[in-house]
Amino acid sequence: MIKLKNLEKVYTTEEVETTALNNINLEIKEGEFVAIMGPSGCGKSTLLNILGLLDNPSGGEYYFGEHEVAKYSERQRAQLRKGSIGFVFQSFNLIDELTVFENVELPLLYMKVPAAERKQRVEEVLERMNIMHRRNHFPQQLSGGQQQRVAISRAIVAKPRVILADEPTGNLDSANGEEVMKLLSQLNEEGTTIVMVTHSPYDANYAHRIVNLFDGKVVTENIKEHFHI
Amino acid sequence: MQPLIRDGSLITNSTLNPMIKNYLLITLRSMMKNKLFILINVFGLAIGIGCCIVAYFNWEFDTIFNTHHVHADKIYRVSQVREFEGTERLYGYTSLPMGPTVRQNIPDAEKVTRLNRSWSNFKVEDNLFPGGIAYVDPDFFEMFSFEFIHGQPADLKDKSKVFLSDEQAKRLFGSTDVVGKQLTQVLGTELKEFTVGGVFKKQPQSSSFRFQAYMHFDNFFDDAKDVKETDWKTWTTMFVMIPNPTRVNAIHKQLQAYRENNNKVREDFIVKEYVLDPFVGMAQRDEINDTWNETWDANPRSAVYAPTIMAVLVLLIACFNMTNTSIAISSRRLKEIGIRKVMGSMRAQLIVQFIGETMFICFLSLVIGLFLGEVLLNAWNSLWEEMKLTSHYIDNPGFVLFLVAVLLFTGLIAGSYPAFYISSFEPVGILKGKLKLGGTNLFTRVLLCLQYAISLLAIVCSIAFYQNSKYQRDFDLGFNEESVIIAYVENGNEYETYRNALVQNKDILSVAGSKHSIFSQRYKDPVKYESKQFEVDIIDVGDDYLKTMGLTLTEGRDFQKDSETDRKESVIITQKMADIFKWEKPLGKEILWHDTVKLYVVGVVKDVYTVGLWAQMEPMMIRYTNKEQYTHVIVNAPIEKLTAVNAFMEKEWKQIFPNRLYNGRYLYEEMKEAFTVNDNIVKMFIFLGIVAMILSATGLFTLVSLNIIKKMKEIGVRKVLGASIVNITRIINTEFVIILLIASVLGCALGYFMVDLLMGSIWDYYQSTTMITFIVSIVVMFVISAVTIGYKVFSAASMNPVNTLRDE
Repeated sequence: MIKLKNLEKVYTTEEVETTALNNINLEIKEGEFVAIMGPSGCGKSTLLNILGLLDNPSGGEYYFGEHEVAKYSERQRAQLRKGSIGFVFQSFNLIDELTVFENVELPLLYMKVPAAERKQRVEEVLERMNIMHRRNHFPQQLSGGQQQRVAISRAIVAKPRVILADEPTGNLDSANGEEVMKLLSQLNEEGTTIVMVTHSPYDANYAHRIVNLFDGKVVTENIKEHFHI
Repeated sequence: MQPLIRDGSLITNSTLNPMIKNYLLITLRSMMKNKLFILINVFGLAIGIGCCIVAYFNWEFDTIFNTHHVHADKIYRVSQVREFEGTERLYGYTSLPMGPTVRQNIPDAEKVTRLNRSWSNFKVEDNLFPGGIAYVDPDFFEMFSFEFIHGQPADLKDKSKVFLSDEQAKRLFGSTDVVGKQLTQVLGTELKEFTVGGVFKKQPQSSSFRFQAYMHFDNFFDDAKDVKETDWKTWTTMFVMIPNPTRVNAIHKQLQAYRENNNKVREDFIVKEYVLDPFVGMAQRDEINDTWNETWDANPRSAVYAPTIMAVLVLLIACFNMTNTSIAISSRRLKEIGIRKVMGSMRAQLIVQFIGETMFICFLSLVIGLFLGEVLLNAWNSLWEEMKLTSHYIDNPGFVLFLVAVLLFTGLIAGSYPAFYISSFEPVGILKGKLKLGGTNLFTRVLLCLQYAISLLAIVCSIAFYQNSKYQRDFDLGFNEESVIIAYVENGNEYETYRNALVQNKDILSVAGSKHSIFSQRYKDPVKYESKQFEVDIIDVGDDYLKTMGLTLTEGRDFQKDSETDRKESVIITQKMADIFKWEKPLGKEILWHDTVKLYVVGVVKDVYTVGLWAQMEPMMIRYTNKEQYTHVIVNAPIEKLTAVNAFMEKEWKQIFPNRLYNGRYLYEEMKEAFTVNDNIVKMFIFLGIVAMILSATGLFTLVSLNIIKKMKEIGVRKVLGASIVNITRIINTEFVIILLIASVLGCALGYFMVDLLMGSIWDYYQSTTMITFIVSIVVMFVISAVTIGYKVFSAASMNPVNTLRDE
C-alpha cells in the first residue's frame, strides 16, 4: 500500500545541509502494523510526516496506493490526506475550543459528510472508544488517556486506510498507554494499516514489524518472530 | 484496492453550513476565552463606526445643503465684484433697483426675486413675539421649494399677506390652520396689520432660507422708511431663474450695462462686474470666501472636515488594535491551524475562516456602532445650536454602501495579516511545537507606533485647544465685554426717555447712546491720507461711548460733549489705523473721507477686535454723532450686578415701550459663539483622546503580554543567572520605550500641524501648540502606558524561573 524507493529528505539552512532521511526503501502492506524505532534525531518523525503527506521528500519515490505522491502540491496532498490517513500525536493535538464530539466530527466536515451520517459515525466511534459519556466535554476537562482516546476516535472516524501514530503513548502513564496500544492493535486486527513511531520497545511489541532507523537510514527490519525485548 | 477518498461519493452542496457553524463555534468560544480584548476591540470598532456615522451625517448635511430646492440648478444669485485698491472681492448683494430692471429688460431671466431681511415684533391680540422676516418678490415661492400646509403661495403678490412657517404659526396662534387670521407687525412705534396668507413646513436646517416669515417686498419700504425703489445705494440679495442654460452668458453680458447706475452714486464702491453666481454650492462658497450676503451659509469647513478626520483616526486606531489583537489571539490558535491542515483543510479555507472571524467581530461592532452612532449623534447635536442631525438608513443606499465599505475595510485590514500569514505555516512545525509565534514583529511594532502617534495627536489637540480656550478668554479685545448690556431703540427720543429712566438706578455706572457699535453694527468706507487709501470700519457714537464700552484712550482726547466741531471733523482711531497709515504721531493728522470731507484725528484708542478673534482685526475710526441718530442704549454695570440691572432694564422697557419686546442683550452673549466653538472642539478632542488612549493602551498590553510569552525562557535563564527584577523589566520594556519615543516624535509633529491647520481655519487669533502642550501630552501618554503594563511586566519579572524552564 505504501512504497518508498530511495527516499531522501535534506534540510538546508543558510550554512548547514542536514540529511534527515537517506536512501530509504520501505514497503508497507495493507493491514500491516509497523513500528519505526531509533534514537532521537534519526529521522523517525520526518519519515512519518512524509508518509502522512505533511511534508514532501527531497528525492526518491513515494507510492501511496497506485499514486506517486512525492511531488504532490500542498493542495493535492491535502486532498489525499482527507479520509485516507488518520493521525495520532503524542501531545493529542485536540482543538481546545471544540468539544469531544466536535473534535471527532472535524475530519467528516472537511469530507462534507451529511449531518445525519456524521452524527451516526461520530457516536459509533465514541461508543467504541468508550468516551461517549464525555461527548460534550472540552479537551482540557479530560484526562490524558481520555484525550488520546478522543484523538484516536478522530483518526479513525473517517475510516482511513492508514493510521500514522507518532509516539501515541509518550504523554501517558503505563495503564493508559497500555489501553491505547490495545486499541491500536484492535484497529489493526480489523484491517487498518498502522505505522507507529515509538521509543518504547514495549509498545513496538504490538507491531508486526519493526523498522530501525539510524542517522536517516533503515538499519534493520525485524518481523515479530525475531523480536528481542 | 480501496478508493482514495472513500467518502467522496457523499459530497453534497448542503454541507457548507456545518463548516460555517463549526467556524462560528470556534469564533465564539475563542472570543469567550479572550473576553477582555475582544470587548475592548468590539467597542473600539463600534466607537469608530459610531464616529463615522456622525461624520457621515455631518458631511451629508453639508452636501445636501439647498438641494431640496428643485429648481436649484436653474437659479443664480446676481452678485457684484468690487474692485478696490487693486483687489477684487465678491459681494452677495446687488443694488435694489436691479430687481425691477432685470425683470423688465431681461426676459430670459424668467423669474426674479429680491430678498432683504429684518427683525420685527409680531403681535397677536395682546401678546408679543419676536421673529425674523424676509421681504421677497412674488416669484420667490415659485423659484424656491417650500412645502405649503395651508394657503396659496401665489398670494404672495398681495402686499397685506404674511406667510409663516408651521413652527412660527404654532408659536403665534397655537395652530397651523391659521390662514385668514390677523397678525400685527410692530415697526417701531407703528403697528401694521397683516392677514396670514399661508403656512409652510419649516425649511430644513440645510437651507439658506430659514426665515420664519415672508412678506411681499414692498413692505420693506415701510420698514426701511428712507429707502426708495430707485435707490441704487441700497443693497439687496437677488436671485434669477434661467430655465435655458444657453442664455446664461448672454444675460451675464446684459447685466454689465447696469454697473454704471451703481458706480455713479457709489464712487467708493465701484462694481467691476455683475456675476451670475450659481445657487448650487452657493452656501458652501459663501462660507469659504466669507462672502457678505442675506442668507444662511453652510457650516464652516472645519466643522465638516474635523469630525471626518477624527472619525477616520478613531477607526484607524481601532483597526490597528484589532489587527494586533487578532495576531495575538490567532497565535494562540496555531495548534488548531495545524490540526485543520492535517485534517485536509486548504489554505484558502483557513484564510476564509480567519477573515470571516474578524468580519464577524466587525459585524458585532457594526451593530453596536449603529446604536452608539445614535448616542454620539445626540451628543454632537447638543454641541451645536444651529444643526440637528438625524440618522436615516433605509432611504439612504449611499449610507448602506458606506457601512458595508467600513465593514469590509475594517475586516480586511484586521483579518488579512493573521489570515494570510499564519495560514502559511506548515502543520509539521506547528504540531511538533517547534513553531512559536509571539512577541512583536515589524508589522505589529509599526501598528503600535501609529496607534500611539494618533493617540498622542489627539492628546496634543485636546490640550492645545484647552490652552487656546484659556488664551482666548483672557484675550484683550480692546473693550469691556463682560459688564455691558446693549438694548436697541428706534431713535434719539426713545433713547432719551429710556436713558432717563435707567439713570435712576444707582448700580448702573454709565449709559451711552450710539448709532453703531462694536459687535453689532458698523460700516466700511475708504479713507485717504495723502496718496494712501484704505478701507476702514466706522462707527458713529454718542457721549460716553468710550467710557461705557471700556475702550482705552492711549493718546489725545475723547469727544467733547455737544461739540459741533467734533461732530463735523473729529475722529478717534484705533492703533491699527495709525499703523496702516504708518503714523508715528497720529494726533492732528488730516484724512479725507468720501473724497470731500476732511477729518482730523483727536484721539487714539487701543486696538479693538470688532469681530472677536474670528477674522483679521480691521482698522477702525470712531465718529461723533447727533442724539437723533441714536439706536443703541449701552449700559455699563459691575459684573456682579449685571443680572439685576438687566432685570431693571427689562422692567423699565415694558413700561416705556409696552408694544415691543425687550431686546437688551449681554455683550458677552454676543461673543459666546467663539467660546462655544472652542469648548466643543476641546470636548471632541478629549473624547477622541480617551478613546484613542484606551485602545492604544490595550494594544500595548497585548503586545507586551505576547512579548513576555516569547521571552519566558530568556527571562527564566537570566533569572537563574542572577538578573534582578529591574534588569528583567528593562529587557521587556526597552523595545516599547523606543516605540513610544518614535510615536512621540510622530504624534507631536502631526499635532503641531493639525492644531495649526484647525485653529487657523477657525480663527485669525489663537494660541497654537507650545512646549508645555507637547511635554504634558508625552507625560500623559507614558504614565498611562506605564500603569497599563506595569503589573504585567512586574509579575513576569518576579516569576519563579523554575516554572518557565520546566515548560521549555
